[in-house]
Amino acid sequence: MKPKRVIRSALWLSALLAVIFAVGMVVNLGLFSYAVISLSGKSGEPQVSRYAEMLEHTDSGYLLAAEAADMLAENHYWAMLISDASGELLWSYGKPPEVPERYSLSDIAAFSRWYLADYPVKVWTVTDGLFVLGGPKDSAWKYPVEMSMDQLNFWPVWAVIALACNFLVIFGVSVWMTGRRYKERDAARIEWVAGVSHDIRTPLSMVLGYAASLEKDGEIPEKQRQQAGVIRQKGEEMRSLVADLNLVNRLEYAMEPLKKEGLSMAALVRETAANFLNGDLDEKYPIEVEIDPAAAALQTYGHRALLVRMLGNLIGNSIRHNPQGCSIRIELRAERKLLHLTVQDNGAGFSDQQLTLLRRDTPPETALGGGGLGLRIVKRIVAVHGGRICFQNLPAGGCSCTVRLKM
Amino acid sequence: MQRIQDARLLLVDDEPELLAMLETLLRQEGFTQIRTAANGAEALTAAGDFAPQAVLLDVMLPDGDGFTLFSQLRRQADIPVLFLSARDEDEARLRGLGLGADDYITKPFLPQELTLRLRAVLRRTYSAEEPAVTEKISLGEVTVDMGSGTVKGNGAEKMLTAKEYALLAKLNENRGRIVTVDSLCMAAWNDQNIGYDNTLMVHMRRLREKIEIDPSHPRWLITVRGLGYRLLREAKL
Repeated sequence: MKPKRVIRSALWLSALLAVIFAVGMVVNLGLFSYAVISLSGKSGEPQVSRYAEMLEHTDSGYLLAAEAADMLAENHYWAMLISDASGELLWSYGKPPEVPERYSLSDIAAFSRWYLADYPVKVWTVTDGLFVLGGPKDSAWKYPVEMSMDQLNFWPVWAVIALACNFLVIFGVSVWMTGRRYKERDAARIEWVAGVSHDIRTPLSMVLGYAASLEKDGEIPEKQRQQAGVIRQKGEEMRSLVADLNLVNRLEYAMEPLKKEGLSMAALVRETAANFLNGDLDEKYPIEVEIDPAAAALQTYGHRALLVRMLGNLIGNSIRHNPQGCSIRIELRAERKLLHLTVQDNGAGFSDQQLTLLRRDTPPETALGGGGLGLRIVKRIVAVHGGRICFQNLPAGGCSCTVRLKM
Repeated sequence: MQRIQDARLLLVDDEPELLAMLETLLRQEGFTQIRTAANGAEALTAAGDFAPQAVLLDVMLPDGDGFTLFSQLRRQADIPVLFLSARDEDEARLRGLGLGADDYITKPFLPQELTLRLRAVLRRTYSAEEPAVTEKISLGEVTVDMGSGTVKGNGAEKMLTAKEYALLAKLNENRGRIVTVDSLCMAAWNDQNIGYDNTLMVHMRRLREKIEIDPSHPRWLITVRGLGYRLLREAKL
């Protein structure tokens, strides 16, 4: 699983989620404010000033218009008028008995706009005093909102911090979701490739087996034997392709940790080069090995078989791309806490297109580019060892691949 | 068992076509006593009445895996087993079995690869002794008697030291091929090549003084720069 890939996808996912959340929040807020505004208009919440205006001071005392009185009764409201001068009750309508009849200045300060004996009240100043409108108990909830200007000014910062926190949470969730999705997909892909290559191997055994036996059969004509030889050869190519495909599959989606051991890279280089030279390698491919003394004495950690494979593929690449022959030079140096392994040849070199493809960090699902499966395997082996690889063409002709591994 | 080809072989694989091919190939190679089985149950029956001397066993069988069958077969008799596997992933499990005389081969394989492995497994199990090491190494006029560790034909008869003997034996085992300095150190000191370079060079010079007519221009024991040494084969006349 590639972390880069996961993070990129997770970013997209979280951006999408964030937009959905933001739109949702705006819609919710809109609906809420609409509901609040329209409800407060309809619920017939009494406007204290309206009632206060409808209270008239006549010669026979105070008189509330009949229309207002009906509305009060209907809503279970009560009202009273407190004298400015004495704090005595001047007039009242439907006042509950527990509401007192005399008020001091501090009493008024205490209930003004709040609760009077648990009744929510509102007040309005009229000519003679204070008009108090009371609602039934538990009919309204009041809470003081007060904020220092400093705090209020800081509000945008808080909003940004809150938004950032929200986004972090969304991002975390996205990474988790994306990672799980990729993991499932990768697991399915490993299974699939392993299954397909398994299914190819058994029939290929028979192709190889019979072709090789026909090739050696003395009873059939020479020409047919040669043709059987071609089938055998191509069968072997398919065999190594299937094996490579399987290896790439396991390396690219590697979930099992690599079993690394202490090893001498110098010995590994000598062994691999000697194996090439001891094999049927044509004389037009001389191999030269140069190991600096510092590197020769070094022990490093790695997966032996994979590192042998890596070097073998690099040498094989030079051989395959230079059918007319080329000199191959392998160098191992220790520099600045890194092991530098260079394989270079004086052959044709890479094409520009190949170089671009080789230098790019190809995601696993793209088509094979550059050096085909062989160099792709090299790149993956270097990657699973935490190293870096650099491909370049030499000014004098030919190409060089340098692998840098931590010691 | 007179010859290796006389061994009784049991082939176990669920693919009848593959079984047929294996049988054909092995008969071409001269094996005559071959029985086949398509699953674990048949294999166990055959193991009872055919008493095979080697088993070719597919790791994947319709009625269980080859590993289980392997341990069941082993309970009956100590027969060598050559596993056939179509998955690279099996390699780890096969290694985990601690295969002794046994071996495994990954599909697809070439007939010669299969018979090579099979012969090796049979030889390890049934041949009393390994083919003896070449007693005498011939280097032109010079002859080295590996039995006694003496060099003849280059002036007075000389004795090889233990290290020189080990190095020459290793080179002779791989005669004509490059032997890396690392392998030589392993052969002589049973240790990794850390700081042995100069010591190895000294021993090689002494060895040359004994086996080469002209040690500064060696004809047989050739240095391969950067890699190791090679003991040349005698040119065929």
